[in-house]
Amino acid sequence: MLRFSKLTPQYYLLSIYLGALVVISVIGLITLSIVGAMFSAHFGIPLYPRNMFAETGEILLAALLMTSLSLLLNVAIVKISRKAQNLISFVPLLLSFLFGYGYIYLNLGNLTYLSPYTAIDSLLIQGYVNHPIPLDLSAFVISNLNNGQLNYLGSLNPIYAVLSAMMWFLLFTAISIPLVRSLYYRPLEESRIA
Amino acid sequence: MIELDNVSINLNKVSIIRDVTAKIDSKVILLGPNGSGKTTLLKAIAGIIPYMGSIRVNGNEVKRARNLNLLSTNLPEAYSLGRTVEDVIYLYQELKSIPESNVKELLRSVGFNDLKKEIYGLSAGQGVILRTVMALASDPQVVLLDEPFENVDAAKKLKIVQWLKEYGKEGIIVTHEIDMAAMFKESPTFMILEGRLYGPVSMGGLMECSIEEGSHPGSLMEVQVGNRKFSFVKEGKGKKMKDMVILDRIYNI
Repeated sequence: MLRFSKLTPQYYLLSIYLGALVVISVIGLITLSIVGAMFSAHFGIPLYPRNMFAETGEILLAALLMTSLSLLLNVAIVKISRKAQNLISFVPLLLSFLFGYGYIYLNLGNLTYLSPYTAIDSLLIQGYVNHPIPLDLSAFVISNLNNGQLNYLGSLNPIYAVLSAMMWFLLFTAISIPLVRSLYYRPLEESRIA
Repeated sequence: MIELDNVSINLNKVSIIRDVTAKIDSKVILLGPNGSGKTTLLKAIAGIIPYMGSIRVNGNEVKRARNLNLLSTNLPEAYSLGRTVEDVIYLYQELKSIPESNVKELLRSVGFNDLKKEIYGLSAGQGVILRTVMALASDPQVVLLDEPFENVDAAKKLKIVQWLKEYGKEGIIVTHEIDMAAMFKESPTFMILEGRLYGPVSMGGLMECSIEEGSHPGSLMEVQVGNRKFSFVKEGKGKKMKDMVILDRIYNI
């Protein structure tokens, strides 16, 4: 298609990103309403997102980031071999476990900004509570587990987190473009392992 | 113009096409038994699979070709976007400048009116007709058609022959149907056997030939099958090509 039609990798990626933005916006808003309703029901006071504007923007940023990552992984599957599909599809899951739990129970420090998972995670939390959140969330969690004594150093700088997420998005896109351009067709049946 | 220079294609470490060299500057017919490499060669020219050697379309190396809107094909791999017939028409009219009205008119002329139908719900013959129409409707410079008569009923086959003569300036038509191929008497014809390309000879001349074992002086074409050599002889004693009805019979030589 890219060789003998007007389609360009940039146009192809843009179409996928725009489509994903629409779908993920709807899913994000539904999820946000459900989470808000559940928090409110549990604590008995209205606990909806405090900064809806920031939260919506962060949902869109998360959509772009995750779509660009999954697209890159899919392109890698076609480029390497569809047989690697099962193995590669575990990559985001492993990363999310690693950084998700790491963020909660370990002091990741400035690594929070470096990892796209923790950057977007922390931004979404900050948008929801509309209050600076600790860079070291583990200290907050552990203090709650111990005696309620809150002892942490520094809050998340949302600008750094946004810049990190945008940088990862651009990096994933920049890697995907030449890969998409050099792709050859691989039949779906290649992914069958038996 | 399609130029093939020492083209070899391996798929899953198996050699399919070996050292093929040819120049194609008109509409040619490509014959060959199942598994001989006809479709593989079309896929390589369409940029769908990798190859060794050089394939140039209008002077552009296919490996490095970008947004060259001069080649169309009916290979199913080229139409992987869209859910319904309407979607496919809409998407490809934008991506390949195929006039929507022309596609619809050609489809209507063979009684294909249900454009809301899902692609996966089409019969095998309808799928071939749709893809062949998509390949021809823009009247491309180069057209690559793989089995355009497969699973198509007799009346529509004749319509497709008419389209093939009318649309596309040059290219390759792969078929097993000798009665349909015989309608392109003037067309140069290649034969692909065990990954090697033979020809070109005229389709009209080939139809008058019979197949004789060994080398024969004045034969139209000689081919190698395993360790045996066969000649297509014009005034031979064997059964004539035109009487074979389907080409598969000649490959059992």
